[in-house]
Amino acid sequence: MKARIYLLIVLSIVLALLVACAPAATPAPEQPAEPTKPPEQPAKFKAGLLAPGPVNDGGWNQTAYEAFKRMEAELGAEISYVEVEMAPAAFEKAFRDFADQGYNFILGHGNEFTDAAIAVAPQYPNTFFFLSSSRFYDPNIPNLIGLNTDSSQPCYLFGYIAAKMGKGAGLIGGMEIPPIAEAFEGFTLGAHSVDPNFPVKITYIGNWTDTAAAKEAAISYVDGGADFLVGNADFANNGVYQAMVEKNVWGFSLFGDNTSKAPKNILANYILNYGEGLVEIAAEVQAGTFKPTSNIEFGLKHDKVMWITYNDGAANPVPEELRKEVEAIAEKIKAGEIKTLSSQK
Amino acid sequence: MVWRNFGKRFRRAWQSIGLPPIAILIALLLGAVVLWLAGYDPLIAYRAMWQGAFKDLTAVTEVLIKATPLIFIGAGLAIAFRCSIWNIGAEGQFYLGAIAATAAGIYLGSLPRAILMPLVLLLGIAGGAMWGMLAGFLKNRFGANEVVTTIMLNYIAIFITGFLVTGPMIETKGLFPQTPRISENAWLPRFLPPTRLHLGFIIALLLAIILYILLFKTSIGYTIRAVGTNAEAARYAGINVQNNILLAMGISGGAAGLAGAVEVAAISYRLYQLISPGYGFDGIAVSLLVGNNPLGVIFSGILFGALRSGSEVMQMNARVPSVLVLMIQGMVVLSVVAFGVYRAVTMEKEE
Repeated sequence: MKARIYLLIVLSIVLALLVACAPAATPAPEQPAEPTKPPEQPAKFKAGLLAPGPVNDGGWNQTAYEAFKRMEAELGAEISYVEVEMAPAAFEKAFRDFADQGYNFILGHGNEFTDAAIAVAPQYPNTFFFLSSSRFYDPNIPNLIGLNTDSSQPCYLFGYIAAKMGKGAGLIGGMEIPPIAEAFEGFTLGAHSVDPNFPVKITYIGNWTDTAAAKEAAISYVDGGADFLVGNADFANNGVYQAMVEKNVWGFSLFGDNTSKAPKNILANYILNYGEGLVEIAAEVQAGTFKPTSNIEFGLKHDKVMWITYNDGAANPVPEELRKEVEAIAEKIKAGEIKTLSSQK
Repeated sequence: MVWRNFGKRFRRAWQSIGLPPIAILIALLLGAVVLWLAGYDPLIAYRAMWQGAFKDLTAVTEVLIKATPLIFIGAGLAIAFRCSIWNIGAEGQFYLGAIAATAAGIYLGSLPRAILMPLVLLLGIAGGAMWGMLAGFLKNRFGANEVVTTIMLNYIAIFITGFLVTGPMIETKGLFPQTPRISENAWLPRFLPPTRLHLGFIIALLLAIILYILLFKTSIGYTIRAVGTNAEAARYAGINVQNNILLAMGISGGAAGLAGAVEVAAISYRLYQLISPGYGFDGIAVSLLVGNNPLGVIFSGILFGALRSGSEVMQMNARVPSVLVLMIQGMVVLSVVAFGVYRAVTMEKEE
């Protein structure tokens, strides 16, 4: 018995030595190969993603990951991503690991990476760091840029349409956080540009999943006289679409085409293609033409990133003249003549 | 006879020094097979992992930074586990410590550095200890199983944090679910710039040594271990079992709370909704790995820190998906624990 244990130990030592030696031995032949690589491709563009969750989540992280896959295909970029351990202690190191290896474009996909990026970016002035869902800009750290999407612009157009076509609007949000509140403010300003007394009611259900609560809120607004509904509560929006169908009122969908969920009732969709925005910026960084003087705010003027589509199959489609008016307003928003947020200068 | 004695000694020395590294190597070997089956080159993957953890001074300090909360929590848990109190609540105790430290760092921010810095750490200890002793109290008073109560208290602590950072303590701009930064007077000093190595790591080492002495060289530690070995016998011998349970929960909770306070005061400088990626649970493995020896926790904590640190570079450079990386980490833990059991069994036989 004991002899066998000995044998086991000796065997494992031999195995261990084999394993221990193997990695030490292989770098030798590979190392000479590495220095020869750079001369072949002197400026390989490298893009790194810090994802706060699994990149196949079908939502937030997947959007970014797919954008990086496009960078690989369209820009010939070398891409890599890391699903960061969600600890503040891990963020800085992840940024640094990318930057140390000569990555040119590093995206922290969420506002939570801000502190770490501020700490790291100044030490790598030749690397561009980006933050999703952020308005960060500091002239002292010109290589750290916040990327935000201004949903108040398309929502301003929706508010305008609602006020032209309807009697009142009910907006159902998930939580009162800046991106949601700003979208609703844009809607309200748009509606009030038509009729300052047009009733716009706003409620937040406090989560992103409670379809029943969203539906109840929507129905109570309809019972109170509203005939336009907008949901901005992620998954819970399904409740809003159900309410549109049941009460036969009109509505809009945000961030994607949801026409199939209320084919007769949804009059228009606001489509957001954030990945396109990321790829465009990466192309500029690669070409060396990216010289930002402010944070980046994706709006209607980035017409491949953000646009609206109409549903011609609706029971009451948006009339042609109104579409032309909306188009004219969109042009003014793009030109900065119309402000869709009261806080805008 | 000579051979036998030699063999015995050799085996003893071997078991205490040699087995853990062997366990890790075997796990990595199995991991290599999995990587190979999944279509990745194990050598490239492990080289990336090694580089991520030990490439240069900065990388090594990052390993120590990641090890710091694990050493705190593991050393504290060693005390509770030696008392046979299964404290699964280090996660919640960590949060309570982080909350208390953040509150002090924000609302008492005008205090001078010499007062505020220790105060933040002390409040962290107090917060964690209170949360731990609550479970101890419930066990003593109502016989509530501490496994259940500590797990439930984890949820409560995490939800309290969520409430605080979205409500009463949200940053003044009111934008994102996080508190404002704590006063600079509360920041733990960093040495070895530009690395982020901070005073907390030294405190963690000290705490591990202190808890080791407490556990094995004092009468307090002796009674704690006596309760852990056989509570009935200890009671019969005149030891107050309930007090010792409270004490063990207080120490392990306080250590976890201190980990939370250090994380806030040295790394994040503010409180987030999910400030811990599960340190409290990793701490359990860190302690069990070395047979609940507070001194050994230093090494197992650093091992875990290195695995974590290296795994991100493994994702980045070897393109290994995070799930595979986590699986290899799990295999390392499993293998080391299995060897630990083997060691315990053979030692018992010999004694």
